[in-house]
Amino acid sequence: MTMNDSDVRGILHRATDDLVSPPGLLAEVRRGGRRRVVRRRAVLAAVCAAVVAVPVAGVLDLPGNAGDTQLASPLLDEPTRGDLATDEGYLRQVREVWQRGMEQADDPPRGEPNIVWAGDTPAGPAAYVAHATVHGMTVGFVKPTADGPRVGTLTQVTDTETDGLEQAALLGSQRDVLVVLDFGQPAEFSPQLRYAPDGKVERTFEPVVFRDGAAVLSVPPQRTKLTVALSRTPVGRENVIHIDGTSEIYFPGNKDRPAPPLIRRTLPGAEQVWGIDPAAKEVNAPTEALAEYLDPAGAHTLNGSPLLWVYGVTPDGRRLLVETVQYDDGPSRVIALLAGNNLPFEAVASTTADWTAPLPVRLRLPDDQGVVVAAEGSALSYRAGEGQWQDAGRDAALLPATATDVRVTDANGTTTSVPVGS
Amino acid sequence: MRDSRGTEFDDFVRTRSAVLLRVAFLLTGDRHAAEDLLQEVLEQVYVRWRRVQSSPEAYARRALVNRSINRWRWRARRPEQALGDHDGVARDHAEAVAVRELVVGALRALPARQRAAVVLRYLEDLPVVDVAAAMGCSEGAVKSHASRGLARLREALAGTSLVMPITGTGSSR
Repeated sequence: MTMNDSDVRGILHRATDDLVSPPGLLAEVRRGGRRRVVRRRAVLAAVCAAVVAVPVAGVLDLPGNAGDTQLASPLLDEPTRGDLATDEGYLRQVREVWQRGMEQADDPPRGEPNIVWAGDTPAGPAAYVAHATVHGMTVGFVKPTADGPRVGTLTQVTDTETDGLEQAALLGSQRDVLVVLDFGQPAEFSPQLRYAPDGKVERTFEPVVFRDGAAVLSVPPQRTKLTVALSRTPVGRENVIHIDGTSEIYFPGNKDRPAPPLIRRTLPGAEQVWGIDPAAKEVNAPTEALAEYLDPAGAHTLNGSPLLWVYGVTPDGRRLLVETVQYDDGPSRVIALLAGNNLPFEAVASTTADWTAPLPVRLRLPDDQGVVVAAEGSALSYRAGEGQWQDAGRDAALLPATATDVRVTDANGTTTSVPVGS
Repeated sequence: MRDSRGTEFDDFVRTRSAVLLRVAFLLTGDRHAAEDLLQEVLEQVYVRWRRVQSSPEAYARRALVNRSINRWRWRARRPEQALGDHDGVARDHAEAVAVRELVVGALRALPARQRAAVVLRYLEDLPVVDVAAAMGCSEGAVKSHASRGLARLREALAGTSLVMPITGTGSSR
C-alpha cells in the first residue's frame, strides 16, 4: 500500500473540506484588529513623545515592571450608578459572588472590585463589575437567577477601550430583558429581524435611552435565536455591541449546530468569462453587493440548510453569481448577482429555496437572461412549451428565458416536472 | 465608522478565511486552536493592511506558519466568545471524523517544519517557491522538509482505510 501525491492532496482535503469559517469571524477580527491598532498607536505615541508631543486619546499606562499593567480605566474608579447604587445588602452580595468568580480567573485580581452599575430590572437585580488585575482588568455582569446573583462571562481587558466588551446582557429565564450599559456613546437597538417578500432584511432601529448608567429594555424572548441587534451609532457591523450570554442561545446545552453542506457549481462556459474556476477559488459575493440581504448588526446561526453558490455567464456576457444567505430558522434566501466587464456585482433578483422540493431553486433573471435552477444530485432538462426536452446537465443550470418546464431526475431515478413560472 | 481598509479587507476575510482555517487546522491539529490562530493572524493583517494588501494571503499564510512553528502563545479567550463548536459535521459523519483523526494524528507526529511544508504544498497546492516564502527558508529546504514529511505521513497512514491496495498502475486510493 502506498500513496501518490494526488492521494495526499485528496486526504488532506477530505480532512478539512467540512471546515467553514466561524460565524461572526469578520466582526471579531475587525474588533480585535482595532484594539491592536489602538494599542499600537498608544505604544507609538509613547515612543514619539520623547521627540514631539503627541496627543493621545484616553489614558493607557504601558506595561511596567515584571510585565504588570496598570490600567487607568474609568470603570475601575467611577462611583456606582443605577437605582441599587446605595443598596448595601445587594452590593455586598455582588461583591461576594464576584470574588468567588474571580477565584477561577486566570488573571489574579488586585485590590477591591468596583461595581460600575447596579440596578433593578424586571428579571431581578443586576450589576456590572470591574476589577483591576495583574495584567489589566476583568469585567463582567452579575445576573439574577433563581439561586441568587451569578457572575456571567468574565472578560479580561488589556486596554482602556470599551469597544469589543460585552456591553449588554440578556436577563431572565426567558431572556426577555436586555440591559445595556452606558459607555458614553449613543447606541441603537432593534428587537426583531424580519424579511421582505424578496428576502431583503427589514430591521427598525431605535435609540437606546440611557438613564443613570444603563438602559433596561424589554425584548421578545431570546430563547432559541437572537433576534435583537444592538449597535453603537451609526449602526453597522463594525459598531456591533456584544451581548453577554448569547452562546447559550447559539449553542444550547453546549452542543454543536449542524454544519451546512456547501455546494459550489460552476456552469459550462463560466470559466472563460470569469478567468478562473470560481468554485475552486470559493468566490463569494462582495459584502456590499449583498448588503440589503445581510443583517447589519445581528448575529445568527445556521440551521443546516445547504449553502449554495452557482457561477455562470449570462447570454449577454455578464458574470452570474447565485448565492444563498440563511439565518437561524429563517428562509434560505437565494440571491442572483450580475457583473458586467470590469464592473462590480449587483444583486438583480432573489427568491427563497425550498430544500425539500424536487427543484429547490428556481430564479428568473431580469432582461430575459434566463432562469437559474438548482437541484443537487439531480439530472436536469427543460423544454419550451410543447417542444422537445433539452438536456441541462446536473445539479444546476441557467435555462433560456423561454423555458417553461424543468424535468428533475433525482439520484433514485424519480422524475418530476416543474413549471418554470414567471 | 469607516476606515481606510474599505470593503477590501472584509472581502478578503470572507473569501479566504475558510481556506486559511483549513491550513491552520492542519498546522495545529485542533479546531479551536486553529480558529484562535486564524483570528490572531487576521487581526494582524488588519493592522498592517496598507502594507500587505497587495498580497494579504501570502502574508497571512506566513504568519500562520510562523506562529504555529513558534508555539504561538495561547490567547486567553472569553468563554462565551469561543468562535468554535462547529464540528457538527464531524460529529454527524463518522467517516469524516475518522479521516480527520487519522490525518491530524499523522500530521501531529511530524516535526513542525515538515508539517508546514506538507500542508502548504499538498493542501494549498502552492509551488515550492511560495512555500519557501511562507516558511522563510530556501526552496531546497522546502523540498527536503516536504519529502521527509511526506514519507513519514505515508508511513503513518499506511494500513489505514485511507489507503487502498494498488490495483494495476492506477491511483492507490
